[in-house]
Amino acid sequence: MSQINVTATDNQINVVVGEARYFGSFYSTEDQTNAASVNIITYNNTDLSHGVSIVSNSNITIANAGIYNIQFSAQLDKTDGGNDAIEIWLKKNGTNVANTGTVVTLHAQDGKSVAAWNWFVNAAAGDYYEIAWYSADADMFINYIAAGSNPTRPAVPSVILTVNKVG
Amino acid sequence: MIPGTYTIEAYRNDTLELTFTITDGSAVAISLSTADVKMQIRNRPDGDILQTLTEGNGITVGGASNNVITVSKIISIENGGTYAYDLQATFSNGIVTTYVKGYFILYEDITK
Repeated sequence: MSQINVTATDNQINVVVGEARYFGSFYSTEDQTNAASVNIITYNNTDLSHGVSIVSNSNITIANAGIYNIQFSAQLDKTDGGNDAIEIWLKKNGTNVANTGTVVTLHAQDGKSVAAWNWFVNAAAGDYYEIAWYSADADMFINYIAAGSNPTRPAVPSVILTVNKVG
Repeated sequence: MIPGTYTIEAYRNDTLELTFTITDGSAVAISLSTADVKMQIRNRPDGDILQTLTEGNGITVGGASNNVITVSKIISIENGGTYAYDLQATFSNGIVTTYVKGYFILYEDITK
C-alpha cells in the first residue's frame, strides 16, 4: 500500500504521496582536458534533479540514503596519433572505490570513442561520488561538440550523467 | 493510502496558520484544482465534530500548480484538549484522498 510521508518546518508541511523517487540528470558543455595525473569529470548543467545534486562542479551528492545507479557516457577524443588508453573509475567521498575501473583505448588522431557504463552504489545521506580518469597521453580529452547543421543535430555533451535511486 | 501523520498545536481563539504542499515522490505537484478540501476536528475519531474547515471557510487551495493548501482560521473550540483531525480532498472524479491525520492539541487562551 502506498504511503504518504509528511515533513514539516515550522508551519510549512510537505506531504509526499508515494515512495520518494530521487534522481538527477547532468551534463557538461565544456571540453575536459588532461590537466593532471588524475582528472575529475565536471558537470556544468543540471537537466533534472530531486535529491541528487552536483556540488563544486564535480561531486555527485546524494541527499538521502539508498542504493543508487550512477550511469554516465563520455565522448572521448584525442588529438595525436597512435593508440592511447584512458582509464575511468569511481571515487566515494574522495577515495577510490575498489574494482570500479575500466580501460578504453583510442586509435589514431581524432579517434573518438564513447565510455558508457554504470555502477550501483550504497550511499548514506550526504555521501558524494566523483568520476575520475587518467591517461598517459597528454592529448587525450573529453570532447564537447557543438550542435551541427545540414542536417540539424544536437550538441554532444562531453559527459552525460544520470543517477537514480533503485533501492 | 495511509495518510501521513502530523500533530497540530493551536491556541484557542488564535488564528491557526498552516500550509500543506502536496507532491508525489518525484517532487511533482499534485493538483487539487478539481478537489474540494476539508478538515474536521473531532474530540475523537468517531466523536463529535468540534470545528470544520472548508474552502472558503479557513482553507484556500493555491500555488502555481494548485497543490498548496493554506489553512488560516481562528480556532474557536470551547475547551482545550487533545483532539483528532484529518485533511481530506474529494476530487471531481469521486476519488477521496486523506493526506494528513493526527492529533490536534488545543491550548486554552487566557487573554480575552
